[in-house]
Amino acid sequence: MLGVTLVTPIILGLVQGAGFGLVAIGLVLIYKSTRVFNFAAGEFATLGAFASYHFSHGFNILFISIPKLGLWAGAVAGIAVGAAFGLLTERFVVRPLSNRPKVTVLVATAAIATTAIALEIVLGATKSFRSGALVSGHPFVLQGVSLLWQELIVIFVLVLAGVGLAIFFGYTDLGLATLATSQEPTASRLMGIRLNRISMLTWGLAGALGGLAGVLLPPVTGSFFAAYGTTDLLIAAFTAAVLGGMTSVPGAFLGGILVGLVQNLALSNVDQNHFPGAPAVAVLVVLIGVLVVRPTGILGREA
Amino acid sequence: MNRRRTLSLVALLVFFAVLAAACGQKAGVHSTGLAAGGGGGLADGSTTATSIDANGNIVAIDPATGQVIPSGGGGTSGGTSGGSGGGASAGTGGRSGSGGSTGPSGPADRTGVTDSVIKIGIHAPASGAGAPAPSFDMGKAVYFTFIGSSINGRRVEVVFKDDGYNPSQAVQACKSMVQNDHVFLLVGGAGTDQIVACAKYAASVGVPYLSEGVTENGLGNLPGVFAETMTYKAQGALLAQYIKKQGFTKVAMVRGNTGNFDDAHSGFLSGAQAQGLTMVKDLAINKDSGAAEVSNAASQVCGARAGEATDKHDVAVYPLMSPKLFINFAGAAAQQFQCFPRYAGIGITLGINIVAQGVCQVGGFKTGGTFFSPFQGIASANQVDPDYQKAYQAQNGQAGDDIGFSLWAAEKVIAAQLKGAGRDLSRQSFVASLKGKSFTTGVYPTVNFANGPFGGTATHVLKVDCSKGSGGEFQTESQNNKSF
Amino acid sequence: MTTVLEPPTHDEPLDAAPADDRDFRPTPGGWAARAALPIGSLLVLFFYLNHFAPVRADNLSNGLIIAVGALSLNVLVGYAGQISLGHQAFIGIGAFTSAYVISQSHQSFYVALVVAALVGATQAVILGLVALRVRGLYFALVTLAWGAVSEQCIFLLKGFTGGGAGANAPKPGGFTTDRAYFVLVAIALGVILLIDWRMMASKAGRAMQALRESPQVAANYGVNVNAYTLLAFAVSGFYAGVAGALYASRRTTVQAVEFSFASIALTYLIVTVVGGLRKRGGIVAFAILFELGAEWLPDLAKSLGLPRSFQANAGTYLQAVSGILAILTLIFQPEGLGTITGPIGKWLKGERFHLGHGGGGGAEGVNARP
Repeated sequence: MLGVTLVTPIILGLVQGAGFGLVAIGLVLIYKSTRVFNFAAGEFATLGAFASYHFSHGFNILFISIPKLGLWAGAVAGIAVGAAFGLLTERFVVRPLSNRPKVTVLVATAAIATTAIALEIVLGATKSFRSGALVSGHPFVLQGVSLLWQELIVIFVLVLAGVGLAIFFGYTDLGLATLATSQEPTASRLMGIRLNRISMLTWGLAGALGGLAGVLLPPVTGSFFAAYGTTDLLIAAFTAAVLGGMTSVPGAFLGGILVGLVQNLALSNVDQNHFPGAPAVAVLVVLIGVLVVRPTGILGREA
Repeated sequence: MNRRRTLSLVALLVFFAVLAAACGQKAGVHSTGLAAGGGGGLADGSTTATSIDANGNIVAIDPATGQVIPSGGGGTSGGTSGGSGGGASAGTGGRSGSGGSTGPSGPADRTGVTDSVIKIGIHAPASGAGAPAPSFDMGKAVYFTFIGSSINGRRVEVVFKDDGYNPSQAVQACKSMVQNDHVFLLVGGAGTDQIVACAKYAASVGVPYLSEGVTENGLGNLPGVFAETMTYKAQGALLAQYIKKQGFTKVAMVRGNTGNFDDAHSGFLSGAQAQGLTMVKDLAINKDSGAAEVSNAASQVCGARAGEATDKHDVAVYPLMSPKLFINFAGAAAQQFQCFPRYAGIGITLGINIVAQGVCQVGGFKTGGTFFSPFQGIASANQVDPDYQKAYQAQNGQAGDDIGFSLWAAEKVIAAQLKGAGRDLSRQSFVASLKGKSFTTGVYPTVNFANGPFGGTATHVLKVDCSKGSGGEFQTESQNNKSF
Repeated sequence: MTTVLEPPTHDEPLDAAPADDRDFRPTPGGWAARAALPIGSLLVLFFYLNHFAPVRADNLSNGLIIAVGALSLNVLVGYAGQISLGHQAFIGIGAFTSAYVISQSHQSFYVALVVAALVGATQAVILGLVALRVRGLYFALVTLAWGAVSEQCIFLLKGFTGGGAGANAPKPGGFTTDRAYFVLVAIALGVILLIDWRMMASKAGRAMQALRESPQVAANYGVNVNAYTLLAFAVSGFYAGVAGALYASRRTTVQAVEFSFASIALTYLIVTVVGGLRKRGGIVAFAILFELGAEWLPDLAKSLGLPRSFQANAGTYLQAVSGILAILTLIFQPEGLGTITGPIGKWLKGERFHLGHGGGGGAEGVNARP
């Protein structure tokens, strides 16, 4: 019986947490470079999921007709659409608001999410879609839980993205320039850093990461639908990023796993009949606890 | 500074401890709360809508369980007295509300009826549940078009509205159909919470309401509300018999966390107990669960079989939730836990082919799936009622699907009922004409209102076949079962 | 990067007109025109309510309830510089409290309204206690998580809310029809507007505004930062409780699914921003426009002969358009609809006005500290 209440939720929590971590890294990237909380991040993922689904299955919308291209081409399309959406957000929303208070930008990104959700409903109604795993099947079974190839891909991509970003921020001139713009925009500009370029780069990259999450996560979580990223991923991802201190890539990774664990342990051990919503309560408690006790997050320093 | 920080943290923790305790405790006493809720609801109904008699048999509630006691057709007689009480008082909802709710003594309310047309409104989850909207659009009036003006010289016009599998959208849809479209009666296609929400509204404004799939809890004593199919509670007992007959000894139930499933839940629990089945897991999940929650639920149901070879299909699982949740649940069970229980359940929404396709695609029906349903599988449509495909083809230029057939089946019963009410048709005469009558159409099992407003007498059994249709189809396993 | 000149962020004092406006007096004809507008609006409203089916009155009630909810959000975002992304908790707790008091405690609607407002204020103050420690963007996250807790835990407690089946909140006697209930909702909105207006003209209102500009400076001037932050939460929660109670009885049965992040928190935030932060008139106007749009767009699409898919999705298009409007508002017109309602209000009062200028402020002031 211990398996059901402890071991299974821990395995599930690790796997699901990796998914949250993937979205959280995108949030950290934006926060590190522009000090903005990006509430449209969930919809970067949903749009990526929609694009990857429609390109791999073929579609016919208005005058555009695309044949069935297969899963891998769909994945590329998903990432590209995510990146394009990130760039559009930067050019038409974030840049015009760059001198405004950060909460204004937050409200604007929330408005982007609303608009994107509406467009998704027009495209896909409120149906849920199932997208195929890039690699189907499961290589091994751990304590009764089959680890899917797709889940291992998520973990692998997460680690890869994390290491990539750490190298980018830590060892490349561009990365250092990006960090510099977030901390001293005026000085950076005087030093010859082109702020708009940097801003486009980070938002495009964050969009691509979101699109990637949209490509990789739905096969693991079962299905996706309009507003999928906001309802299923965003709160958990934000909590993960905050637990990691908002600026730490490895922190976001650990934060994601912590959120996954907390949610699953609550789900497996609390009876919904008597205490509905235990995972949400647990997440709120952890969030406030961390913010009050250790506002810099579990890993502390900026990394 | 440090002490202040600690203090505020302690304060916060205390607050959340209180919150947690409150959450836990409130829910812990939910059975009594619910009983009170049921009673309160009815009393409220009578104060909101003056057309419902204040003493319309609301006493017929078991205080311990909150269940309606069907003593002497409580709902029906409630309707009668409601009519006499309501006849005198003006309605609440403008035009539509005028007149008593059901009683023959009130002034006749002929809203929606002209010399040549009867207008009715149907709400169903065309979106939200995962069903393709065109199916509803194309199938919504095939039967009524087919029979033309043969209902005592009138034809039936259908207004269809999507309720989005969302109770508030359903009420809005029903309100709009009553007030803007001036329909004669309302029909609830599927989806328990939506049906209960709309039926309450319909009863409050004196519009007859015919429901296609139901709980007893919310509907038992609303005047003018009739159910054409067996209640979840009654089907729960049948399902337990069926599962037992299939050779299972262990069952599990997973349901969406809504009060409207409570009687389905208790019905199945007592049925399973009567059949000597062991309940290995009884799980409630959030009605709007995200993927993570669904996958965890699957782990709990599958984990209830820990230590056994996972493929051994010795547990029957009764899922009671939206199609979207069920597909995700079965997918998670199959893919993450290599767990293939036999799914056996009740449903209109779970018995449609879109569910068969979705679950087949994720491999969830490896050991089979059967659902009770008031209509037969689409493959037997030609056998049961050859007119359906002919009429559908003539109207839409293509072969009809199962959703069209379900609408056809429901409309066939409604047509018989409207016909039975005679040429002099009013809301009052219609409701009065239903009482005690029985309707046999060949598609739905016989509908008999002799014992009250729940007319279902039997159920068909649909069995999934993943090799048929476009990647999965429900086929008729047996028909008109009153017991197993 | 160039420095952008920001419009002034101070509201003009309500009672002291600038010197050059003092001599401005409308002619008698001008006063007649000014009187014609409200009277004309009332006539249009009367016609609207009586000419169409009662469900239209019901929808209009919803517009006013959205206005009350958006005014609640305005207190936090507009006046106090806090942000709430969990307003579905505020509204929903009010709605379920009211339903509970009516159907379980068997009290009248009016008692329930007061209890809902007080409970709403209490939960907001508790959240405000967190805001004293966790600031800005991080606090936004806490409100987001609080909204999730309300949706997944509080609203599903069967004893309190009836679980997924919902709770009953019949309309009060004398207001049982949709048209009569509209009158009740309109009165409630009027009272809330009055409270809001008087509060902002008081010391408390000025203190809250000072907090928004800079808590440090406010503290230096002797403003009790913590007390006024909590007051802002209490007032916001109070309005939200009223909105929830009105909503519950409008529906007569309320379910948990009606109070979701997308349908309440995001929508109300957008209504507040597009209406114009700190612009009461703009907020009420946009709330009503939003609801009327949702109600009439499908009919309009039908009469224009647009494809069925467009008709069915009209509400969704409205959502998309509102989102885009909100972004445009933030970028180009921080005063939102206040740009239009502001001058109209001044004109009505017989003061000098400037077209296209609502008197400053607006979304410029969304500046909770990061």
